[in-house]
Amino acid sequence: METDVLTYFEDIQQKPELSTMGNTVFKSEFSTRIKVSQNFFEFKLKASDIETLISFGRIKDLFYHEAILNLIKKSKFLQLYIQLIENQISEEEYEAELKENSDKYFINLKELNSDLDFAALVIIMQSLPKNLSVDEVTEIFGIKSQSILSKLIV
Amino acid sequence: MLLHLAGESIECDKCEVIARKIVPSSPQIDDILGRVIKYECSRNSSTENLKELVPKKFKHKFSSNLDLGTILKADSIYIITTQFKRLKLDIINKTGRHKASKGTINEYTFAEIKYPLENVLNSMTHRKALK
Repeated sequence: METDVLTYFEDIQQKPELSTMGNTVFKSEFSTRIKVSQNFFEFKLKASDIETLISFGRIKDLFYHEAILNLIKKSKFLQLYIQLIENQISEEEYEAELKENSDKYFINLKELNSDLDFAALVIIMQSLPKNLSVDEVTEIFGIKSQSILSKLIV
Repeated sequence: MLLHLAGESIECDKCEVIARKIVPSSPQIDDILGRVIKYECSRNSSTENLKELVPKKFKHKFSSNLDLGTILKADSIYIITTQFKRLKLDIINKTGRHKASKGTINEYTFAEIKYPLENVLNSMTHRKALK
């Protein structure tokens, strides 16, 4: 099969198979030759590789979203705590607010689903200007510390 | 028993906390512990197990020390507790020069060393150099 770059992209869109990645469906494997001037480049690309690249970006985005939401929750909790210290609210009101509106203040701790999740997390960590401790990662990204440590040990 | 290395932890049902700086950090929801509040203790912190867990079995970290009287001493320690109530702190004389805050948590508490004391880190570096 000999195509130019444009035809190659059309191939991806037009030949779907039963490989799921959300709603997007890809052909299981592409083998193509790209004609650039007089030179020919041949390469093979598996659909699983494309899926990995796309899902990797999505995972990173999800981590960033989670981090923003968790930091908002943390700041709301600290605002509530300051109100308590400044005697603007009573201890009963403080406890009741935490119990009644737990979604507003509490960070949900989850497990890391896959090695891909862990890899995305490591890349995010490397791009940050500050080294974070395990408990800071737990707090910011809402991931259980045991889940992170188990990945590090294995 | 005195623990002073990074990552060492205790779990207990009553805990005494002493540090020059104790601040709440964030509320979290854990599958096993439920709703918990996290505190950060820094600048010469220590925590002591005043009441063992019943049954004496870890809830948060399998390597936690569960024995009564175990003390964690470090530069920075983080605490996770199921106690929602505000942590009441008293000012005490920790050293000749510095005062510290002291509080007692009367519910389940997990405490782990984040950063060891400077002299511990120095001695470890010295030992590595000797090897």
